Amino acid sequence: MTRRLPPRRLAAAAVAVLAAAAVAVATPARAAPAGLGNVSWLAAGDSYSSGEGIAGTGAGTDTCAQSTLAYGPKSAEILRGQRGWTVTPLAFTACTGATLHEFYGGGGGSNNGHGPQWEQALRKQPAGKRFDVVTMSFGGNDIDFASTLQGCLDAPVLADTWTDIVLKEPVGDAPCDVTYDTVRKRIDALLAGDSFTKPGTGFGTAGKLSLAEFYAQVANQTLTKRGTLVVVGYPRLFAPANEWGAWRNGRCNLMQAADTQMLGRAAEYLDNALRQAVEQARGRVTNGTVDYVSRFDLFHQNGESHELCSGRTEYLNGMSVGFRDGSLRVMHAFHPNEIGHQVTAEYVAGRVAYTLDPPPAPSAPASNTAAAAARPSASPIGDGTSHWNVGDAFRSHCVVAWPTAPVRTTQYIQMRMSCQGVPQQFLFVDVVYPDPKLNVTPSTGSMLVEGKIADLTQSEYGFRTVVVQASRIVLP
Amino acid sequence: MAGVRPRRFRWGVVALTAGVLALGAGAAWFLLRDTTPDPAHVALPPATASDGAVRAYFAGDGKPLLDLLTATADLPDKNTRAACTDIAAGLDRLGGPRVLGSKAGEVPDPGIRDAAVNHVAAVGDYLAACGSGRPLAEPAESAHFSATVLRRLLDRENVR
Repeated sequence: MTRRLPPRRLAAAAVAVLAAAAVAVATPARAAPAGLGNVSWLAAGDSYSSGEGIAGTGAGTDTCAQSTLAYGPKSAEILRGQRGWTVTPLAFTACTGATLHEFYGGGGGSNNGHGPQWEQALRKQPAGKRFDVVTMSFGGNDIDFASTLQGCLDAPVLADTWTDIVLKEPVGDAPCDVTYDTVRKRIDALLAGDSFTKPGTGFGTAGKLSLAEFYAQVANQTLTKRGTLVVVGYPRLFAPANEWGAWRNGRCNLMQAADTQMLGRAAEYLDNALRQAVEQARGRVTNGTVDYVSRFDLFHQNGESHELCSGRTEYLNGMSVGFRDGSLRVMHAFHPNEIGHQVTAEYVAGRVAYTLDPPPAPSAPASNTAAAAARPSASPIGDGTSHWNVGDAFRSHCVVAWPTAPVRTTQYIQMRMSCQGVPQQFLFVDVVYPDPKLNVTPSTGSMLVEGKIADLTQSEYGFRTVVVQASRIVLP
Repeated sequence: MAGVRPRRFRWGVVALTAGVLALGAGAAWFLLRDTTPDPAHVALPPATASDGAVRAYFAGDGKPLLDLLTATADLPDKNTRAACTDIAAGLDRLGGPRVLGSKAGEVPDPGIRDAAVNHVAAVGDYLAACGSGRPLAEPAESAHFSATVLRRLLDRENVR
């Protein structure tokens, strides 16, 4: 569900576009911090790190379902674009289905045949075989959360025919296959070093390690002295049922309210468990730092839910995405979408920047000039010599950013889009086109957008956004 | 004065009894009342892809969803397995649940999309209950609810 822009915001956007007189001007890229040098980065983890929920992943040879828009590589890109960092090498090893064991071990068959993630990372030859930044999410597959989720789905509708539903052994809207206590026990076992799906495998390089000891081992063995391990947790998938709206009648993406409540409690327990493991790891770390980013909190900030059926912009895909691509697989579904990864990436980038390049202690009030110079900057879209300014020509291939639907008024259509070649600090491009009947849906593919940059602004969700007044759109 | 106190006491007992009975009746009403919202009046989600897109979709790829809605708007709350098999066979001619589910997932408006997915699921639950001989009152009501909400959303978009 995407919230419709309030009329006031629409009016503001229209004014911004039509006036095209905003004073926001992109400034040159901030120079890389002196002394920081190259920053090596390992983006490890499972499908919640690989970007499986982002459109286009998992096709063909992409057996790990990776997207460069996933929070790991995306946060590195944000720091490149906004801070002028040189991030190299960037090892992106996150893979769908990965368990904790597959970070260090599992042989050649692990990570869908790509081998252990640490071995893959070393092939990128980081200096001293260590990385400055390691980001990861692991654990979801160890507690078999995907199967738990599937066991909660309203199963009849997954049948091939309606007749099958009547005649074959029907699976009704029964509650989830597993209980909260079962999931909780799996999480407790995970903390103690036991994987439910891969029993007896062990997380570390030698012997059985608790989750906290695993994190400490990763920090001590793979980080540079200044480095940081950022453990990224899992969100709650469904907004609290009392926020759904009565029109749903207790149904959300083939789930019943009671089941989503159980899953929510389980997600909260997992979030607390991972946070606790990170805190315990800190006492064992002799090298670098360990940090925890809670997507449980991130997707539910300031009392505003962005989980499924929240009625606000959803940071996750619902089951309908599985319907949409005809696969009915849980792949894509119930994973953070592009927006969810953007939000995570911004947060991770901020935490990493604070650790590796902390802001100087305030000495004197910053002048307007200094403040302007510190603003995020725009990289050129074309030949590397120009900046993005209001009034500049814009020409790019764009897709509607999942899962936002275009907003139409009587005079124009406004689409939140992802466009090729846009500087990283601009997470979206809001394209306004004076044809409200333009036949575009969230499923429409790549389209050519031509026009002028009307504004460089901040979106309602805090994303820096380019506003383009389009004069021509060529549909696929 | 001697007769006043017993009379007052008697009236007090009567008032207390009436109060207790009223409280009990109120509690019973509260516990037994129908809390299901009325699908004909429940607040709908805002439209985000109005004008032509939804109408165009249901005039083309989404047409079988309209036929499904028509066929399942009022499923009976008592039925035989044989009758449900007939209903299912009729729906199969429109497309299986996966096919119609995919079409529901393609609706360009997120609110209508979710409402359509909900209705496909509700019809599946009804037929599953029918096939297993479970009571149909609840799944029939649920399917009626989702059908009514979907119909209202489509009416708002002038989808016929």
